[in-house]
Amino acid sequence: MKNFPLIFGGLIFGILLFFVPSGRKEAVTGKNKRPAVNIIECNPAAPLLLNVTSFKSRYGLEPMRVRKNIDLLTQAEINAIKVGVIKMKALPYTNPTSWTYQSAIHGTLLTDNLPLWNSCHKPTEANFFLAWHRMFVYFFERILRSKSGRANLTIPYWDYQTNLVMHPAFRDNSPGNPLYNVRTAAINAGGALPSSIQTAFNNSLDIIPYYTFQSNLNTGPHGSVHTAISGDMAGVTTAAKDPIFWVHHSEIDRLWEVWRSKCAGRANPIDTTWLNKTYTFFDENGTPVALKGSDVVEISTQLNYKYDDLPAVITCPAARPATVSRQTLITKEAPVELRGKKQNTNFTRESAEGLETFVSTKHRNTFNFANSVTPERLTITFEGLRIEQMPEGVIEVYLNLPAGQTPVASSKYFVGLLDLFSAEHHNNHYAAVQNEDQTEIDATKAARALGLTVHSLQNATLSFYVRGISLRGTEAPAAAQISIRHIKFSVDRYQN
Amino acid sequence: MTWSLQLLFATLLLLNCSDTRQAADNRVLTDSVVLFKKDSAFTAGEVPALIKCNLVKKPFTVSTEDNSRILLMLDNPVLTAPAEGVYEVYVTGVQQDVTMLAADQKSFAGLLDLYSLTAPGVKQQLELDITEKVNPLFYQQKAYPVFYIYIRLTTVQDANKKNVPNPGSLHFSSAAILQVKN
Ligand SMILES: [Cu+2]
Repeated sequence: MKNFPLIFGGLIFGILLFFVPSGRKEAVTGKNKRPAVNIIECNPAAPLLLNVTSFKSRYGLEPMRVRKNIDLLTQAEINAIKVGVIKMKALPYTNPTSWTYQSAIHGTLLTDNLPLWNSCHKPTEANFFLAWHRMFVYFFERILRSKSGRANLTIPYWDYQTNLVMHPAFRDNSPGNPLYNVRTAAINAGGALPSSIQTAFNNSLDIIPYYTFQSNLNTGPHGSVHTAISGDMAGVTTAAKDPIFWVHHSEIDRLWEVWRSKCAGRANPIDTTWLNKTYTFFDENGTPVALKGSDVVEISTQLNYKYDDLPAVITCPAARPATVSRQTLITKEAPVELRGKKQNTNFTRESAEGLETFVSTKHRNTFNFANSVTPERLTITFEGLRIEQMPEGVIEVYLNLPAGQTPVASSKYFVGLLDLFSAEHHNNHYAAVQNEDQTEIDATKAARALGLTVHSLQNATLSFYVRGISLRGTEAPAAAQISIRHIKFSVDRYQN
Repeated sequence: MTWSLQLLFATLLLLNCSDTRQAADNRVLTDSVVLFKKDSAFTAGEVPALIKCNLVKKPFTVSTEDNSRILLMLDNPVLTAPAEGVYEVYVTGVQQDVTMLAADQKSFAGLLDLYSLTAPGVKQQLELDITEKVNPLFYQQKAYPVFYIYIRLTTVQDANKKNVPNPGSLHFSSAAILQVKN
């Protein structure tokens, strides 16, 4: 990349002659006088390399375009893609807008080493996997659109979560179908990708830190789709020759947005190395354009496209406000032991001092869950948690579950999970277990649904239920060996 | 195998001998402990590879503060034929009937990325973070934990939902389990 302007030299200079529009020619040659020869003026200020500002001013205001699920495309939309691909494939490979040149930007076995070829998947640039491919698909899409002649053309996405079978237009082996490619025979015959790909994509989306999410997505499900489809897709130096590559990477780009829309602390990088990282691609006129990481973080406002199933702008609610105060209401002093499948415990024999203090100082026996300024939340804290046997499943916690009633997580009695393995809290929990520390569950939702008063906590019952993993609809047997030294109900006040 | 694929695999093998140092980890491992090492070669395919991991060291506590992770490292992977499927990794506390392994189970640790290995100059080594899978086992098993790693090829299905047979397999020269602090 360091030698970039140099490498471009001869090749690009020829392509980049800006022609003066006819109106201006007259201004140049004088009023009402037609030039004797056709003057073609080379604009000396024409940049060899556009930045985001000069690129945008060159094309002016663009409409918002929508990338659709490939299964929802009309035949006319598929046909437009075919027209664009045929035209790109017909161009000489030295033309930056040709099919071969574009795929060689990703990787190629050709040895010409033309500008930008082989610029993807550099070992040291894994942190830019998503950003690089976002730019790559964006510029390819502009080229394909301009060749197709369809102003609203976008690259559709293949949603693996809803369909593991490749779209028929890419499998149709009729002569001249530009979308067909040699691949795993079963895939081209309408077979399905392995369903573990879906699990792996879901697991990636659960990861909160951006770089960990990106790396997991890249080196797990993304790469596995490539090798499962096989043929050109299986190798970095051939992958983008297969038309399905673009549909796959439109999905990878969408998953970045799906990940963001899951909020809960998910956010794009803010480090300057990432924000300032610059990559160059060719636009539909073969002009090189350099974009930075910071130019591609908001697709709708910066790149004028969105996905059909996601909002144009993804906004996340503000993080949960800080606790202003915590007041303990009642504590189960005796240890609670869960040995096996389920266990109940109650607070009837515990001191009601905390409850009385709260009621007498606040002059109310109710919780202010809905207060707009300082809302309250009811929290259950589990102290001195020790796990002797981890459950092959999760531990569900219920509040005031009537005796004999089957625990159901969708019921009003369900408080939450004593989720010892969840990805985001796992490390804390593990440390907590080692140090006999604590974990807590927000019980506000159940307390509201059950209409709990402060005093009623004296009669509260907590039920623990070990829920086995559901395998194709059947719950597997599960049990746990756990002890909890104290359980506390407390009321937290937040500043809104 | 198509001609281009043969070429691809040949390239892959050649690259393996070239400048792999240049592709060394970007991640600076300030602290890394080998918990387990398997020095002999092994093969995974539709018949899974099974590695019994008898840890030589008790892993230190994994916590958010030190951000330490447990990584499965697989060295010099070589595919004998296009995968036409995915290489799945499972981690279990007990030996299992391999036909029962499925990705919707807790033991599913992830997929191996053979695709990235085809990029020029990339170190021929696969890495999979198995922290979430082994931590519960470490806690259950107090002294020197033992667990099992299965690596299995699951191929694509044909139109009748039957997994297509695949003659290929994936060879590794060695494997290791590391605990790293970033
Ligand atoms: Cu890719």
